[in-house]
Amino acid sequence: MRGMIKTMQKLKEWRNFKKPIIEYNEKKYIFSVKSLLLFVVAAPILSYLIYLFFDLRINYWLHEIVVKQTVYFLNLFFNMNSLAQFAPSGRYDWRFLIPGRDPIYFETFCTGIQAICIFAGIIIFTPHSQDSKTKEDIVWRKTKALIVSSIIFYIVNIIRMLIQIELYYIGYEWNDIHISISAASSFIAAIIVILMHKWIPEFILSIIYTGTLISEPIKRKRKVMVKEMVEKGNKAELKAMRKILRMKKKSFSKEISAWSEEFGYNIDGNYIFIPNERKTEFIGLLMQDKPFKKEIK
Amino acid sequence: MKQLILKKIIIWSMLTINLLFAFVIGLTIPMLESESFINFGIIMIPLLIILNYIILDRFHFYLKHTNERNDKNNAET
Repeated sequence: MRGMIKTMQKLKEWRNFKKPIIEYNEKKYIFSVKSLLLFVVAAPILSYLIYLFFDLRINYWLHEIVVKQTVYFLNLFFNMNSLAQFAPSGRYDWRFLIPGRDPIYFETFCTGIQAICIFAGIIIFTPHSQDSKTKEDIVWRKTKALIVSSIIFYIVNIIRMLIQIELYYIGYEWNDIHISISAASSFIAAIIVILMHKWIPEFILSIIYTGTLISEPIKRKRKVMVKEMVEKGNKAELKAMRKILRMKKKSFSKEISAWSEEFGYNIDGNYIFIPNERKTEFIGLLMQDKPFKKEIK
Repeated sequence: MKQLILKKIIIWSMLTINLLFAFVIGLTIPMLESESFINFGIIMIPLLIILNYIILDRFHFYLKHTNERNDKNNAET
């Protein structure tokens, strides 16, 4: 029974919990817990499902387009006389015929679709802000991010294959160049994340927001602990105050003495002492959303 | 007004690119050798239709904001 009451109380607290607001580029970002959870769970599932869909044999037209475009550019830039050959066998429908070398078989992973799928899943399930003005043009921004990232991945993938096949043609072993260059070309994902942040800052902000949601109850608990300590003994631990005031460890001793002087408190050992007449004011400032930040009127 | 014309041109160009892409898909399909070559169109054309709607929706967004701004200016004067 007690356990149930405690759970009910926690649920009540959760309901009354004031959601944090992130302000970025003059826009407000507030995310619902449901959308954040959906993002974490559904984005990888959707990415995988899209990949599985493109890995079906009915979608091997994609292999053909990528192989033929690569062959076209190989012959254009390197005058290689390579060929794209339709030779269905197991997972491979298409292969590159390179003069003087063994053929290279082509599979779904070589199309670069996996990178597009990952970003498609992320972009589609990136949470929308609950602020109506911020989410007004989210569909447009998401579409832009999706199209641009897909085009970049597609082009980079073709360039990667051009480099690899040219190196293979001039004599390098396929095993030596295949994985290393493929891994190196994945740096492009970092550029896509930066581009994505330009159009859909919701992606990175939602991660920060999740961190804030998790840390908020801890911060609140810390504040209550300091409040109780001040009420009982007119003193608070310096370590807890450092965390509440978000001061850096290195410059803490300097900053805290200046800060306590400004507010009229005294420091002794590991504690900060609050005079009786300032106790109520201290607790008021402590329990603010932004502790000890005086509002400018 | 000048800004709206510029935005109209942007929307027009995007719709043109979208149509051109659909045209290229139509041209490419008969040249494909894969077994299920028709799926290229089956998958890409619905995506292009959705994109078409999103571009039009963007134009609606521009118009809405321009009208709101004009109404505000008229109310002030």
